[in-house]
Amino acid sequence: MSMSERPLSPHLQIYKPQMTSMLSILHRLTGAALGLGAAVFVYWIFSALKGDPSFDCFQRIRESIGGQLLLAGWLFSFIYHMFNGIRHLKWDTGCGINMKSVYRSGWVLIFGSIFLTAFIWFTI
Amino acid sequence: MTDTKTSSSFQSPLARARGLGSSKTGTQAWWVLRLTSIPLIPLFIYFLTQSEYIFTKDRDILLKWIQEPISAIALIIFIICSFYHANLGMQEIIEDYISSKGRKIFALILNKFFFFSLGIAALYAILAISFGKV
Repeated sequence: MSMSERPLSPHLQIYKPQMTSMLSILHRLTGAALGLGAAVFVYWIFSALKGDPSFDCFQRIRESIGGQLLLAGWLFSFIYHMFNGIRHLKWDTGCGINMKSVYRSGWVLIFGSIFLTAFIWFTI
Repeated sequence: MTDTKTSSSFQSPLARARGLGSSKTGTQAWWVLRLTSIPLIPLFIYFLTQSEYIFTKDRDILLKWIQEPISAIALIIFIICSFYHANLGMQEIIEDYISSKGRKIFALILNKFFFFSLGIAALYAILAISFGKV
């Protein structure tokens, strides 16, 4: 059996989801989503460079339901990833590495990112 | 064999060259990931204040805004930092989930090329707009 064909013991099926692990994987997911958003960012800039027809086409896609969902998703991803990133930077200095702080900052992160996303979305 | 280096590294020169040890060349990646993330925070705040020019549906307004030196410079720094950060972040994901060495190296190279070429393209567009190729 080669390396990649060995059986694994169950992990995701049995491990209880917790705030720590859920926020951590969300950080990774939002990061990956933003990576894809980078391609759309470039597409946006080039549509502006190319001319009015291209730009208008882009705006029409953006105004569609799919476009709005993607945009909202990316906005949330950016804000969540940024806030959690700051939380990580704080941990890198050694601060707040205890269960109470982690859970407390976790709640701040959840409510903060949802609130800021909604705030920006509805005021811009 | 005589090694005249007086460095205190416990690794043999060959091990260092191969990037052995579980972190391989990881410490630099860890640090640069943090470093590139920091400018993005004030830049995001700045872009928020400029949102009416960024999210406009009027192409001329957007172009005029990009042509302002401050916005162009902010965009350039943003692009360089975020694309480098994205490359390193995706690199961690690839290293974690792709175990076959050949496929991992292929994915890592593809990843680097993806963000590198997109980044260069984005920088080109900003400069083209700034210097009036509009």
